[in-house]
Amino acid sequence: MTSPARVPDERGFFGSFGGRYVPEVLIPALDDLEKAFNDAVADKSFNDTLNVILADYSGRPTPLTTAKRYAGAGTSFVLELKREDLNHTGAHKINNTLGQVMLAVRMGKERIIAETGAGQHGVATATAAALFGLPCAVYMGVEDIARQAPNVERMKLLGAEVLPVEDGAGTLKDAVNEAMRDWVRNVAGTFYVLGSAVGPHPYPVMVRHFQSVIGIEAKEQFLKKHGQLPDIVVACVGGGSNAAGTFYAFLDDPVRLVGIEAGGTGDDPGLHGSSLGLGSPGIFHGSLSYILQDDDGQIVTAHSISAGLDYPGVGPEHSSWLTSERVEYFRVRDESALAATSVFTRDEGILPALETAHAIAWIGESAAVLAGRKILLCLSGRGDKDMETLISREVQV
Amino acid sequence: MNRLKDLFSSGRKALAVFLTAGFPEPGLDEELALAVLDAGADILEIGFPFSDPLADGPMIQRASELSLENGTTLAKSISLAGRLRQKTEAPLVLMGYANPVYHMGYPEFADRVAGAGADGVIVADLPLDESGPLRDELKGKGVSLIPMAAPNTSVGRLDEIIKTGSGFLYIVSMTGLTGDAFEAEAPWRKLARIARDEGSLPVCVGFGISNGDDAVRAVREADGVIVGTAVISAIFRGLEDSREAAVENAVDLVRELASALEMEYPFKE
Ligand SMILES: Cc1ncc(COP(=O)(O)O)c(C=O)c1O
Repeated sequence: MTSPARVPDERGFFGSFGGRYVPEVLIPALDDLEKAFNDAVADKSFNDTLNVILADYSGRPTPLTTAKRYAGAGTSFVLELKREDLNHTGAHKINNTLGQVMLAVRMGKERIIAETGAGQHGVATATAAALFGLPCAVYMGVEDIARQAPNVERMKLLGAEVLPVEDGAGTLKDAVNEAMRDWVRNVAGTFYVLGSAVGPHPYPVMVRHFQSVIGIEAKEQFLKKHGQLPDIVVACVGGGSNAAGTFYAFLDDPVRLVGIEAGGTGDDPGLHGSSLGLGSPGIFHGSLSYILQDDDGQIVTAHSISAGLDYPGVGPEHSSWLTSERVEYFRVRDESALAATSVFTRDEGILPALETAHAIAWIGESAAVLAGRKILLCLSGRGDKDMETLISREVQV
Repeated sequence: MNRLKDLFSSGRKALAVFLTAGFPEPGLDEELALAVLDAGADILEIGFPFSDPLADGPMIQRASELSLENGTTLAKSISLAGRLRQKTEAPLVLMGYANPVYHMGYPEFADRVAGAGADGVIVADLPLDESGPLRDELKGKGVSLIPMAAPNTSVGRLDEIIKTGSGFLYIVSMTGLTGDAFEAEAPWRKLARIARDEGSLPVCVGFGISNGDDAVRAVREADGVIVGTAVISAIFRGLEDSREAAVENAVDLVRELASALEMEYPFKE
């Protein structure tokens, strides 16, 4: 196990992954953003204000709940759930959007845009924009609009404009394309709140920074409860923000880190969202990272039952953790995630997001080898948004 | 032989026309290319398609999509350049996005492009900071990596872009996408003036130029203009009728652009 780079270099590279592969017009905006971000994180008053908002508005610190039954939890192994689902708006996404929207205000930006897949990031962005009184537009693929209808209505209630994206498969990748095009056109006054640890530098490091509160809190809570670190830390990986935010505090510790990607319905191209497990390095959405692509370097459409994992790329820091072997990545299929949702909800009285359910399913499937271990799971979000999918798939919740 | 250098040192105001390889269909792309060159285009930009063309507006996105549906690849786009090279001495420039090139591998890409007889390459999402490795590979084969600058590019950075660039400097006329409305009196002019004063790279301006009038206004501050969306859009309109109408529409537009430039800047060979 080699020690991975802790921070990207000045060009935004985590080892050989990252960078800024964007049209020239975005470079000055990324320079400004990087400078504003570096200034802000070094500014005590920015951090103090953010921490107060995270506490008083979002409800941090989120609790660490000991699982009672799921797959042998409580008897065969210890499973601690970091309850990001108990954040305001129901997922970890708000940790990042509050930070970025505060940065937008600090930079004097007049308008917020975002992309969303599951709608969680869209809702979290619309919420932060409402809190700070900024107009907000959210790009969302038409397929995702159909399967995450409650979140679409929530965004509208929050005063955001939801802009449907018809291109491609009408999912997260297409929404990112349109958000970036909007940013190109309105680059001077608009702040693009990117929802995962992907994109051109400084987004991957910035999103990971705002999400690192998950791992920092969880580590302290776990130590307090168990007098030791977890043996294994598990998180689901879409673009990789909840996983990066959880793992970051444990990078230098003797802790096994496990990321779970969307296995979809199979390993063939177009059936899954496993960029790290089944993809290869390429340049997509502004950075060099593992992506899903064909022989010609065209991006291949991802598939996942969960909109938040339905993305053919992943943050560059995860690519660096894959190649340095600091983190292990596995994939879990749609059916397993659905089944795990049902079992976990009844066992624990917590309805997890379908994204999180992939990580939950991996724990269930690995129960035999996890005996005697202490596990920390990032419970990235709640599953209310997925009710329509669950009902249509006849999952018994 | 340096076709781009020869063209610009002739003092001619250059007209560069962008077409997408494999659009509207294989075969017709070649016919269109030869027809627009015949109609007065000085440089041909051959777009190789990408699934996620971030810097493009709806028109070129659609052309790229159709091209992919027609089975066009980067390799086939380079072959088109090779076939055109058998029939024309006009500068040929391949244009697209980084991933297909990265996936092919920079050395192999450089080999193929040089082998096809193309003169330059433009990669929309490979800014100065990330362009070194490809630039070096291409340079080794005598092919230019043509750099881009935007209206918000700082003067210091522009200097660096010009120093490392070759072929010409592609100035994007607005902070927008291909096909957005052209603004003649806009910040790009200042950038173009600075670049031309520097003097080491010819300057072409593109994005949004859609008729002879735009072209004439743009070229006052530049050595050439680049027209993409307007031509693609003319082809789309013609296609509603027939293949012939598609070619005819493109030819008519290129003639208008070329004669507007010629009228304003008469060029004696
Ligand atoms: C609850 C939840 N978990 C996980 C994800 C995946 O994103 P990331 O990998 O950035 O954490 C999403 C994305 O929408 C989500 O809503």
